[in-house]
Amino acid sequence: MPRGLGELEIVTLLAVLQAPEPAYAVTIAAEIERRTGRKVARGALYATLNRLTEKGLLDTWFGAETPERGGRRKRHYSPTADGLQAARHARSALRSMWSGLENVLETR
Amino acid sequence: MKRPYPWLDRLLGLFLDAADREEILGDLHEEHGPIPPGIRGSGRIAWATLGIVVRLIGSRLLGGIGNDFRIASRRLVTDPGFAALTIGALALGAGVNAAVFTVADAVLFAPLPYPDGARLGVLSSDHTGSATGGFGVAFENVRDLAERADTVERAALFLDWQDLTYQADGAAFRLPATFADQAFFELMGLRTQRGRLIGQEDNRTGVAAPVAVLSHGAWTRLFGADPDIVGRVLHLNDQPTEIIGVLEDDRGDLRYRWGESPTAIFLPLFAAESLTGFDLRADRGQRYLNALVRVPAATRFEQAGDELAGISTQLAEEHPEFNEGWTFALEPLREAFFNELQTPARALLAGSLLVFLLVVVNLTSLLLIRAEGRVGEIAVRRALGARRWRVARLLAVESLVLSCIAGALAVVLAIGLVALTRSSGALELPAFARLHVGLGHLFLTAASTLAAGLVLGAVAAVRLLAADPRGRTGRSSPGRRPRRIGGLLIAAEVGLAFLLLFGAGLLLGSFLSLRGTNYGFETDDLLLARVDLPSANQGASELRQFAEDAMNSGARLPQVADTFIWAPNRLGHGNQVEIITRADRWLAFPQERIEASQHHVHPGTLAKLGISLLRGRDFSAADGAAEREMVPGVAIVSESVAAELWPGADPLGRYFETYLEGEVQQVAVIGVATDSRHRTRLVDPDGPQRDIYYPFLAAPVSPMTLALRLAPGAEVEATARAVRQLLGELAPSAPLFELATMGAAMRDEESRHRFSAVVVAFYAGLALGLAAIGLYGVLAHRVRSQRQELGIRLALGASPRQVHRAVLASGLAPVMLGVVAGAAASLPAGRLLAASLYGISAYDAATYLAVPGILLVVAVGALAAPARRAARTPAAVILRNE
Repeated sequence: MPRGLGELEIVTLLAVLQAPEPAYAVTIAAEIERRTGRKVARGALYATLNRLTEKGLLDTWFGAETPERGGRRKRHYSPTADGLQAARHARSALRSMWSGLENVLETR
Repeated sequence: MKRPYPWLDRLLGLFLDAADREEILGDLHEEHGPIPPGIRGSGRIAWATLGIVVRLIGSRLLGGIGNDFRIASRRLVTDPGFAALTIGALALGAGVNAAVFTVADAVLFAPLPYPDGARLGVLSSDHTGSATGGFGVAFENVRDLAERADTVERAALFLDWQDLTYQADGAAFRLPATFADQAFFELMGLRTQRGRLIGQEDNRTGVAAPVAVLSHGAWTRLFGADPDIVGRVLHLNDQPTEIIGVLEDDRGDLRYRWGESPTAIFLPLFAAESLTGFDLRADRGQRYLNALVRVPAATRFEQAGDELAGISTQLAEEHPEFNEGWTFALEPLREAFFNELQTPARALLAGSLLVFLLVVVNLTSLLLIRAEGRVGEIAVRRALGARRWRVARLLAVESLVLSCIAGALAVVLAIGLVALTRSSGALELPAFARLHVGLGHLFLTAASTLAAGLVLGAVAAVRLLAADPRGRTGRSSPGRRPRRIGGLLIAAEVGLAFLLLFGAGLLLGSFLSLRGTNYGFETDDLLLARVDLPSANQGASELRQFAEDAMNSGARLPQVADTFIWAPNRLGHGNQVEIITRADRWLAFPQERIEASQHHVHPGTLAKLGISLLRGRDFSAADGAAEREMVPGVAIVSESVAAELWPGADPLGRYFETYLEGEVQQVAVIGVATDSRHRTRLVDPDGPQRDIYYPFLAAPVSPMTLALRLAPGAEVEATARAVRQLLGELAPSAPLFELATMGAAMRDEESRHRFSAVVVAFYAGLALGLAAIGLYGVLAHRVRSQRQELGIRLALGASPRQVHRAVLASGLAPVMLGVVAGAAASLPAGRLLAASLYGISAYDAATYLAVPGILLVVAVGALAAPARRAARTPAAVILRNE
């Protein structure tokens, strides 16, 4: 299990899982924007995908050449077993941080 | 609008690998519309792409960099030898560079601290009969010059070679003085800290009491920065002089240009007439002055020089009786100050840059060797998924860490070296030129070290990344080109080391023979006390009496064997020079005038110094009874003078002429003495030594030196104290301004030569060490890359000895090439050095033999380890490893 993930890394990891399979940068970006309402800079997204791959949390492979991409292939991403584990870990960590705060957060 | 963005294409190619490019361009194509190859599209697409690339590069360059620093620091610890060598060499190179630059900057580049300092020059005169030049200028001549010359914007007159005697509380001091007109202060931009400057109204003749301005240094040193100094009246040469101001700094001193102690006090120009007795304006033969001249903007000194030459000719025609043979000489102020230092400073700067370059080149080759050993490690890293840029970054970080440490050390070293130079006193600079390592120098040091480190890292990275990552060891065949480059590198290094060693050898030899050179007279056990009687006491009989008393009471001191008086020069520094010629030739043949040092001595003094008379007789008491006071009438001349004035003839009874006491005088030769080196033994000691000895009794002069020959085993300190007391009693108003043994004076004189010998020897050692490192590096590299070949040779029956010899020979070939190149280059280099050599030829055979010898020994030493390694490794091991 790698050390703590940054917020953008968690969001990206989850977006890979949420996007229609097989995910690639365009769909991942769209998924983040749709769910968080936030536009992620594309360069930052590639960098994050790179980093997650280097940490062994994502697998990547190339699909077939597609005409709508000028004959270029898509690079697909899917979480590895470690990636799934990291997502679970992040969820439980956040959950435990959230627990007991409902009253405070709701009343304000 | 679609247009191509080739730069974007190149940028992508540089920083992203093919997979990244395909992904990103594909995604953009899908979202923003077609991007054909070569990135042809709208500006919007270009911007989007650029934004992505910049973000990506930024995150990659910096992400996880902390880890790289950890890895790099760990490598320093695990490989301390390599780290020490790299850091040490880099720090040494950069530190020496910074120190040299600091010194050279002060001498060569730093602007002079005067308004339009680059346009200031010092005016003096040359004479056709004089080899040295640098005489003063006459008042009227400068006035005419200022009127006629377009290339002289302003001229200020000054006289700065006289000292004044200042008496206070029963003690006497010598104050180095500068007499100057008002323009002098304006041209130099001098201001007072308190009081006022010397103005037009002070500089009139017949002013009842002169006024004076103190230099800042003298005010703090001699008067304890007395706040009430302005208005005080000092007794200078027995004349009351009012202090009217104190300068705010010490920039006003020009005496540095002849290595004299700095001006303590400034007085109006014409005060020189009443205080020193010179008649500055009597006629155009009174060349007591110098002029500070400003040329107009955009005028070169050469132009001014041409015009001055023309005016000199005019003046010689108008006033031939005084100006025949005389020309003006204008020297830029920077050169007047730093003349002697500029060439060595340039040479030192070039040398240290070269050495620094060598350091970088050498370390690069060393790093490459090490990279060879790391190809495997890097290949593993890359195979594990590390990308190219990641590996490159790690190497860059490693070099960064190395060079940061080296940079810090270099700064410390530079500061230390500069402090050492300053405290050694070998390099004397004018008061305004404070020798310190400035921020700019530090920045340069840091930047150069860093740049060098990054170059090292980059070269190593390129080399490693070029290696095939799939090969198990990544070993690539060396090919012929790198080998040849390695060989040339070695040859160049050896050549340079040869040059430096050669120079060091010559300078060292020169220094040693310098130390071994005598003056041609007995210098052992001499204690010298130099005094100057105040001008009021400089009547002939008073001078005679003082000399007599000083000699007698000195001789009565315990531990003193003998005494004599030497005047007016320092013993061994005959800087008081006069021009003489054969009788009847003074006006007719100015080109036959020669320069000689004059010395005034008592009967018997020459014998006491061990200077023997070749012909004629010594002075006698009768020679004191001259027809006129202060005119010697007779003289003893040195062999060289006799040979030049009367070649092949008997000089005894002949007359020479000289300009004395305001007129041309005839002097009869009564003796010829052996040549001795009174003008310093360090300059042209084997050239003609032109000296004239006058009878002190007939023409007594001050300042004079009381010389005491100490008995063997005498206590110098105690005797010196006794001498100080004795002279204080004899003449309380005469300042004692030098009290030292001849030996100490000689060591002082040698210090600059010693310094340059040490500096060059240091450089030579550095170059030798670098050449050894380079040699070791290249050969180790070669042995490693030829292992297979060596292994096969061993397997085929070659003996280890043969392999050893073959490897040695292949390493020595470029060394020999370097030796030959160095020897060739040393011929012109020796000629350049010849001027500063003494007692050793620029083609000294011993040096020519010793240098290649040293180089070969060091080369064999550096080659020994790799050669042995090559020969010892069993063939089976090598081949199996392959």
